[in-house]
Amino acid sequence: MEEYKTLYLSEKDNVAVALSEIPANVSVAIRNNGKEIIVQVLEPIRFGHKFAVRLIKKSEDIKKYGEVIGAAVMDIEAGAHVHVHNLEGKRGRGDKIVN
Amino acid sequence: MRIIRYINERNQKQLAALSKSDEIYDLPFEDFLSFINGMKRENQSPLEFINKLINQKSEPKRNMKDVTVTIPIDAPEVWAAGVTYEKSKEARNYEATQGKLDSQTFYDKVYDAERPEIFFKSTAARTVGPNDPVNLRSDSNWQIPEPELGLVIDKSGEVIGYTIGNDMSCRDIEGENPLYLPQAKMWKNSCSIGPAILLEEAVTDPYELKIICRIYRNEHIVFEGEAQVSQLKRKLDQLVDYLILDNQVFDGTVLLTGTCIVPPNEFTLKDNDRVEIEIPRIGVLSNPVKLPNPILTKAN
Repeated sequence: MEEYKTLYLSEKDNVAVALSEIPANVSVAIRNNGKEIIVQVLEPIRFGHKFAVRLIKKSEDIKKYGEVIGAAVMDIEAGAHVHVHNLEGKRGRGDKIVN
Repeated sequence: MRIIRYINERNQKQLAALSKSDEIYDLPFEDFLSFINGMKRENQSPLEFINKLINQKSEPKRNMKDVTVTIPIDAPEVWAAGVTYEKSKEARNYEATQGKLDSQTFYDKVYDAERPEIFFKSTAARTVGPNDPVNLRSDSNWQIPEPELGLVIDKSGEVIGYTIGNDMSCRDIEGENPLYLPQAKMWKNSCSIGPAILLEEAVTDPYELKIICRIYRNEHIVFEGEAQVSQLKRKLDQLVDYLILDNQVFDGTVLLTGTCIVPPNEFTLKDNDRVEIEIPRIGVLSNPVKLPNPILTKAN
């Protein structure tokens, strides 16, 4: 298995970040604190972009670097690219804040 | 270890670590603060993280000279301290007494007082980065760069990095009346920061940092001066303490810590000069000087 570099900073995260270009349909090992998860990456992931490390259900929080960065707008399969097409930002949404 | 941003192939500002030999390693974070805050949440040292990242990367490295480096941080606010060095006190006294130096001034008082002079210098929209022009005011005939060490702080006032700042100043406007200070200090492109942020944990003693300033006219050097942060009358953390006292500061605020390098009294910057400020462990902040066409108002 070819080694693709990724960053999985927090065990709370449900996405990992690519540290090199990852092509579609390869197995990638995600490591954090000695634990390892193998994810089958489904589509090409560019440097700095993120992919799901497990199934993320619609409306579930998306956590990157230990922080909620948004919510899934649809079910996101493990290994899928997580980006604006399936992630709704939670920051700066004044229309969703209840005062 | 230093942090920069450069313009990548997709025309975006890419955060990156910069090694001692100016090699660039992309960081998978949006900006300096998301990097620092992400590290803090996971109890990781930013410096160790970068070293690990560099060690595990096999991709070809780029060098700083091959990319366009841009402002390292969009500082929401830039504040500055004044009269923190003896040289600065002398220069301000020269302006305030029209060169006579015949009386005690408020500059003498503030130099010795417990409370430092801290003023609001710039906002993100007014602040420029490396190689961007710094502007001259059209209504001043005595303008100088002020080369300074900048502290990058977070919203609690903790120093998270060091950078270089150019606090462009109008000596005639400030000297005429201290109430004109905001006009002597703040206008479009009157503040420049960069080119890099030196990580706080990479610095054992910030007072050992050296500041060098060079001014070029038609590519000939017309002024050169240098100083050491240890000549500072006050302590850096004391300046931060007064900035955050009863105040609200934001992540990524920059506090400029005052100047110790003052060009000769007869010197004034001119259109097309170039100002270079170097702090050897941080880099060289270089900016061309421009006198833009003023917008006509009743003041001119």
